Amino acid sequence: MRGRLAQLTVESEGQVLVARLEGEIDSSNADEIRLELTEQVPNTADALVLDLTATSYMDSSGVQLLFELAARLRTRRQSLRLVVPDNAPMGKVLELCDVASVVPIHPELEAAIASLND
Amino acid sequence: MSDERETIEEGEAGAAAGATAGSLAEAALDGLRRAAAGVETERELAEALQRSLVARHLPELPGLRAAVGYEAGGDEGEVGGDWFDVIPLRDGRVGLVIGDVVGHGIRAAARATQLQSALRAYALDGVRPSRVLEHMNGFVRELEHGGMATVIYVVVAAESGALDIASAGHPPPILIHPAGEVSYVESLAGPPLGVVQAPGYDDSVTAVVPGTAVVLYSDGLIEGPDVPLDSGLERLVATLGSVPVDPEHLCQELIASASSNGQPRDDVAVLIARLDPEIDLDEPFRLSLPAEPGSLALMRRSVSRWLRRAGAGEAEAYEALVACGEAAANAIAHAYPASEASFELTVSLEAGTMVVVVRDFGRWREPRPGVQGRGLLLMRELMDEVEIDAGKAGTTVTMSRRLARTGEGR
Repeated sequence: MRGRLAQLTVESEGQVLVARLEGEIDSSNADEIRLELTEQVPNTADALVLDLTATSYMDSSGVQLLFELAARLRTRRQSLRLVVPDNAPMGKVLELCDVASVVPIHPELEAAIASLND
Repeated sequence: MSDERETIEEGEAGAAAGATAGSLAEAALDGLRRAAAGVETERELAEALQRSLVARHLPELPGLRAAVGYEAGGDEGEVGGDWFDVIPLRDGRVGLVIGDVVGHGIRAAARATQLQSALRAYALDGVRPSRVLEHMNGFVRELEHGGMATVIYVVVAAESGALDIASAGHPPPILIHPAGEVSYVESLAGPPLGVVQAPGYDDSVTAVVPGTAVVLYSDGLIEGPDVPLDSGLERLVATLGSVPVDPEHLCQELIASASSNGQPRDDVAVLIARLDPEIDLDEPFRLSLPAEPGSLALMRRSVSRWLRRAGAGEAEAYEALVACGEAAANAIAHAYPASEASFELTVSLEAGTMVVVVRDFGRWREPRPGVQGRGLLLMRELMDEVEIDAGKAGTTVTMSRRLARTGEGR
């Protein structure tokens, strides 16, 4: 029952950080969330898994956030994975913007974490 | 002479050093005049403070229409410490506040402005109403001569009709149901602010149907008439004969009836927020919102309601919502900076097709590749047709999408 549009929770699983993004991303909060994300990922982490399972809305400003985050982590040599369930309504938006060309997308968190150890 | 007076006004040291007996008498007289004027100034100041508390311009609230009314009370027409507030929260819900600082005059009015700002800040943090009141109690206890205040804070989710209520010693809200019957909300009131060290406040959660009005008021409204407030209100609604109620009209009538036997003994403050009645798909659904990013979530709440009413499926509703969001974000980006610009969105259902028109009053700019280019791409891909008409007076985006299934047997 938070009044904020989106809520970010970050937990670490060994050298992998898992960030859960709950709520909605639009141009009113995308910059803030991107900043919060980059601040919470230390240089020492190997990888970030961004879990969008509980993200109920995301438009092009959210997609822009994903592109910028991917570019940023790439320069730091950190891996990025997204978790988006197969039937998620945002699937089509991510597909149209070709997000998968810069970030691998997995339907489940376990699979995303496992893919980092391959 | 004028030089001498300036010296005196500069400070006592200057007066003692350079003043003659005549100019001292003059200064004493001047002081008296200023003191006399001060009484008037103090009242004016208190009134100005009170006006700033209760004359707030109400924001546009999709899904909800609110109105407020205030009348100063007391024999001297002295202002009191009533305040109200309507706070659009970031998740699209709306916070409603009425508070009453114990006491009258400039102190009560000044204290009410402090409490109004503090509550607004806590509310925007997004915590539950009970937590907001716990923070408020701490705030009042920290103040020097904090005094006592009652307050009620209600968070309304217009989309679902859920009300989340917490009260610090304040009379309970009244509901006016769509057909006109009136009832109190059973809510647990904790102690007034400032009385105990660490009171626990409770949230009372209740749900109402579209078209219901929530009435918050200060106790000035109860102290006046001899009839119980709920039956008095029910009779008033019946005489007005317009259901669901019109908040502005009802506020005016309530204030008028509270002061019908001369000036009310205490200040009277009323806040009425009515949830929009059920959406009528035969009529175009119109919204006008400030051209700022904060409007986007509010726009989505309203358009989601329309889509649900139209029977849209989950995926198509989401996709149509993104297209509307992109069009609205463009309208906001085109708005002239630093102006009180707005944009309009109209949704209508034409033979099973959703038609969205988004108008702004700024100038269309060719989208830059990247962010804005992607927005345009999404609009074109997610809707069947998109037309952009960029004129000198503003840009109109018209989009349509055939809905797979539409409600109401369409």
